[in-house]
This record gives sequence, C-alpha cells and structure tokens, in this order.
Amino acid sequence: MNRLDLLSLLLGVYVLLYLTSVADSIKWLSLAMSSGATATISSANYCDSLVGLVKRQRRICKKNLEVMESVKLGAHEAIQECQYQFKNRRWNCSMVDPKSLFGNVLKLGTREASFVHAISAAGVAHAVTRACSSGKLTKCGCDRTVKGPSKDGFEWSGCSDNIAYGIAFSKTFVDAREKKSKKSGKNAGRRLMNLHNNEAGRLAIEQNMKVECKCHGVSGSCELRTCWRAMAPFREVGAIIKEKFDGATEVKSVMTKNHPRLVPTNPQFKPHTKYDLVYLVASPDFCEPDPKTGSFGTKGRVCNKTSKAIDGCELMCCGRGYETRKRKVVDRCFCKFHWCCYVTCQECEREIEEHTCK
Amino acid sequence: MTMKRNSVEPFLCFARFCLFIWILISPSHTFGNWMYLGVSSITAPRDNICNNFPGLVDQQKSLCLQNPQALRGVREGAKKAIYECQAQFSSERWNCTLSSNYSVFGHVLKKGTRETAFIYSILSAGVVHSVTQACTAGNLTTCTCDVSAREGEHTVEGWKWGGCSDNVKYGIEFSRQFVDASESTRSEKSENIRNRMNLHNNEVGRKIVAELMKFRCRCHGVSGSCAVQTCWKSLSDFRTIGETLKQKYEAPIRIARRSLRTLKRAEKTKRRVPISYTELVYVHRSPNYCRANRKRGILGTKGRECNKTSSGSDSCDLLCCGRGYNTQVVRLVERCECKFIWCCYVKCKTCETLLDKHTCK
Repeated sequence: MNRLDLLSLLLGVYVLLYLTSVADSIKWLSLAMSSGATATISSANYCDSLVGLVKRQRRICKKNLEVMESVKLGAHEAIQECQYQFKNRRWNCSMVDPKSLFGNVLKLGTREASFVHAISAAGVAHAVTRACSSGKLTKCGCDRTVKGPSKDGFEWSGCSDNIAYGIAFSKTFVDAREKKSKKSGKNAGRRLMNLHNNEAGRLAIEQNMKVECKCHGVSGSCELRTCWRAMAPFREVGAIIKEKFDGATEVKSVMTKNHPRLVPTNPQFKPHTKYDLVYLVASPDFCEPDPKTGSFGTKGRVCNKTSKAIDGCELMCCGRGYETRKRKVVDRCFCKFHWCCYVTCQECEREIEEHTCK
Repeated sequence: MTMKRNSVEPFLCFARFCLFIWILISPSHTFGNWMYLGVSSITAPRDNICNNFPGLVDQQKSLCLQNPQALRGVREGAKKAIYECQAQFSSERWNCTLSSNYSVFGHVLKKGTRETAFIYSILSAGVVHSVTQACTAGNLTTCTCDVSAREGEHTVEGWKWGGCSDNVKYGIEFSRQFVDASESTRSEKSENIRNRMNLHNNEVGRKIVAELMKFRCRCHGVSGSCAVQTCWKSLSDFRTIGETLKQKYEAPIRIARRSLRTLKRAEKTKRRVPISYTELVYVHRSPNYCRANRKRGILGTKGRECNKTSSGSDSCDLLCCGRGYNTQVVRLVERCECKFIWCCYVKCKTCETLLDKHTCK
C-alpha cells in the first residue's frame, strides 16, 4: 500500500471514530500535553479549560488547584516513562496521546493498557508526594509519623516522603474516572481492570520505599545517623511496573453474588495479587498498522541487528527484513586539558550503521 | 511441545508407533534419512535390515551388509547425537524438535539454516564417536585400537608406553563413507549447494572429535611412584563435543548460493577468505521460531518454561519473544531433615515447597 492510500484510510477511520466518539478511560492524561496557557492555574476556570477530565475530576481539580501542577507533571512523567520502558518494543507507547486515533490500544483491555493505567496512577502519586516533601503544597508536608529511635540504632528524622497523601490523592483523582461508569453491566470488567491496575501502580511505589540516611559526627564519623523514608526514583518504579507487565495475568470478569469479580482465565495459573497487573484481552502483535487495535506497525522503526530479543531486527520487523543506512556522527575526541583551565577537543567523524524495518 | 532430556523416551515410543502406522498406510516413503537409525527401535542387525531400512542409500546399504556390527555403532552415534542436540538446545527457541517421520528432524532439514548445520555436524560426530568406541571395545572385527602409538617412548619423566588408543581414524573414515554417502544421491543443481553445505558440516563434526582427543595416563610402580606410565589417546566425552559444536553454531558462516569449486562466503568483502573445517556453514537465514507455524514445522515457544531471573536464552524475555509469561505454582515434595538413627536406618521428614513456574504466553 502506498503512503497516500494509507493516509486516506487512516483519515477515514479517524473521522469515523471521532463521530462515534468512543469513551476513553484515560483521557485525563492529556493534562501532560496541555500547556496551561489558556488560563492561569490559580483561576477557578482553569479546571474547566482542561481537556479530558470528567465532572468528578473537575470538582477535585477546583478544590485542589495547587496540586494540579503536580498532577500535570505526574501525567507527563508517566508518558515519558512509558515511552522509555517500551522504546525497544513493537508498541512503543507512542499512542498515549488521547487526541490520537491510536488511543485504541487503550480502549481494548490489553496488557499495554494495564501498563499505561498503572504507570499513570503511579506518576500522579509520585509527583504529588514529591511536591509535598518539597513544601510546595499547603495541604501536605513531610510524613511526620516516622520519628523516634529505630531498632537498627539510628534516629528517624528528616523529611520522610508522605506517600500516604500522594497515594490518597492519586486514588481520588485517577480513580474518579472509573467511579463514573456503572458497577455492573457491560463495562464492569474493564472498570475493575483499570481500578486494579491503578492500585497496582501505586503499590509499586509504596512497596519499594527506601531508607536514606545522613551521618553526623566529627568528620563523618557517623556517630549519629538520621534516616528517613524516601520513594525510589520514578525510573525504578517504571522498571518494576514493566516487570509486572511481562508477567501480567489474563483475567475475565465473573459475577459472584451480583458483584463482578476478576478471576484468571486459566484456573491453572497463579491467581493475581493486588501487586500484579491484569488484562482482559490478548494483545495484537503490533506488526502491521491496524486502527482497530491501535497498532502503528513497525515500518520505519530502528532495530538492533545483533539482538535476539524483541528489539532485534528479526522480531521488531516481523520478518519483513530491514534496511541499513550509514549515518555520519560527529563526536568530540582527542580532548586535552590546558593549564589553566580549559579543554580543547578535536571533532571526529564516525560512521554508524542504522537499521530500520521495511 | 517441549523436548527435554527426560521426555525423549516417550517420544521414541511415539515415533515407533508412527513408523508402524506409516508402513501400514504408505508403501513408498517420501524422504527418509539414515538419522532415523537414532530413533528407530531396531536392535539386532538382521540380514534384511540393511536393505529394508528406510532412508538408506545404496552405498550405506552395502556398508551395512559388509559390516553389520558397525550399523549398531551408527545407531548408537545417531541416538547420542540427537540426545545431545536436545540437551544443548533445551533452553533455546528452537529446541531440536523431532518430527514424527523418517526424516527425524522434519522441516528443519529442508532448508540450509544454521540449525541444519548443527544437526549434520553433531550426527556425523556422533557416528565417529560411537564407531571409535566400538573399535576400542572390540565390538568390530574390522578395527582395533590405534596401534601407531604402541611402541612407547623414553621421556624425561621416565618410560612411557602406549595403551589402547581410541582409533579415531577408523571412526572418521567410516563416518566419511557412511554419513557422506547420503549427499551423493541428490544431484540436481538446486540441491548442489545444500549437498556441499552438508558435506562441509559433516566434516566439521568429525574434525572436532579428532581435535578434542585427550591424552590419558596411568601410573605404575611401587606405591604409586609413577616410575612407568601407560598413556593412550582417548575420546572426550560427547558432552564436550556437543558444547564445542554449539559454540560453532553461535557464529556460523553464511555461504553464497553460487559457490563454484570451493565454498564462498556470502559476505562480499570477505569472499577471498577461505572457509576452514573449523567453521559451520549455512545457506538460508533461520526463522525466529517464536510463533507456531505448522507448514514450516515450527512449534513456537508458547507454553515453554522460562527462567525469570536469567539473562540468557532461557530467560522469559528472550524465550517468550516479548509476549510475556504466565505463572503457575508447583508443589515440590521432598525428603528433608534426614537423620541417621542407630542402628541402622534413616528417618526423614517430607517437606513441601511451593515454586513459581513461568511459561511463555
């Protein structure tokens, strides 16, 4: 198919989808894209200017205006992290933009959707907690419950990250989306899946809190140590959720006593815990562009010739083969330090091979 | 279907059953292979076995008739090689899958991939190994120990004399005549490069066996003083040979389809560099073996057990081709905390551990 044909096809499908306007459960992520220029964050109509929020979320926004900056940051970081963790996969998280047609990947309850939900709920919790610790918010501060001497002989002191607040806020704001839909009915399974994955994302932060310490005493003798609880960097949280993505459990929704519940599709497999990700539909292979599944296809993607994993040309290009291009890169080299104080370098040209899928 | 070392036996039964059915329904076989000796159940070589065994070419039949005992060596060698292939590839996407007909490896042999290269080399090595062992054990009337090292020699350490060295020369010569005979029949031009690829890889397997021969010595003298040593050359165990060939499989050479007299590399810049018998060669690129494809005889990796913590080829990441994995809980019941009680028995408790088993989606 040539490019023009593809473009017109995509356009057609886009218009069709736009008219039918399928509900997207994670539209609030578009906060990450909004520039905030339409209204200043302090004004009350700021919340109304935001795209993609449901009524309940707008209400929360109005009540917590000062937190919204962190929510925005959290959404942005979540998308960045998703793209980082998936940069070597066929679906590379390029479709999170809710304005894009390829949000379809998230409309189906796939494993990819479960990751996006988990990472975005975690992103908000992480960003809000950080804002608490840095004193940007009036409603929260450090976690004061962590204090006094510890069993390991140090003093709990300093500013422990107030993860409880961050998680609580993420729960109210992010999960508000799912409160909207009915508790039973056609979408009950999807609703439960989203709520479960949101929670799993937040728990990934809580379960991986660290203890950071500082020494006091004569020339770092560490006679006295004060420690506080800190969150792992978001990169680490992303990696943990990615691992959960690999081992995610396929579930289906069943009714027990008039309440929907998620159970593993295959009863032989280990039942999921609240820390695991769950999904309802098996993912497509993302090899060819398909608006139905939200797949972009892998044509033109850069691949690794020597790798046997999913980033390798063999798997990434789905057996279609790849093109090799030589590209010149200019690096600094032969750098010398001159007294005092500057460094002179030469510029070296290097040829690198780049492989892209056919 | 996963083929593990311990699951070879049931498979053999299955293969025998299939052979039986095959003979019933189809009087003429499509394409057979001497490798079938390695999975068939025929034990004692009988007169008619040489002529009736599926897949043997004329030269192999006459070798079999001349030396019926050697056929047992071939059979042992093929068996050993198939077993070793499955052991070496147990954690790879292609796990040395056997097919249920005479061709033994099925579709893999139709194309000249690196997997095919490995199969040919290890089977040829297997025949050398087993026939040589049969020589040493005295099971063959046509050969004995290698006597060329018999005379013994004076060395700095003292008097050495030769023991019974493994007669690898005989094994290699036999393998050359028997194994390579399969390649002389197909003479169409399109098959030509495949024949030569197979011949090359057969030779690689044989050379490896000879190269990995080891010197072994035994001391004689007053209370182990080692005044006199008996030394002889012996074969390495087949695991070492398998491992070495697996290493060669990791870095094979792709050859051009149009190689005139000698095999030429496919890579144009290296055309002039000769290809030695220490390197495996292949013609076709391998498929990725990720998804099942019945037409091409690929089973796919769905349902294969993977290792969550490893970073090698058995890791869930590589084996499952990015599809992720399922987790099952397996209950392991073991004897534990064993105590010796006077006299004389051992009392144990049974311990139960729950293990997570990961399989590819």
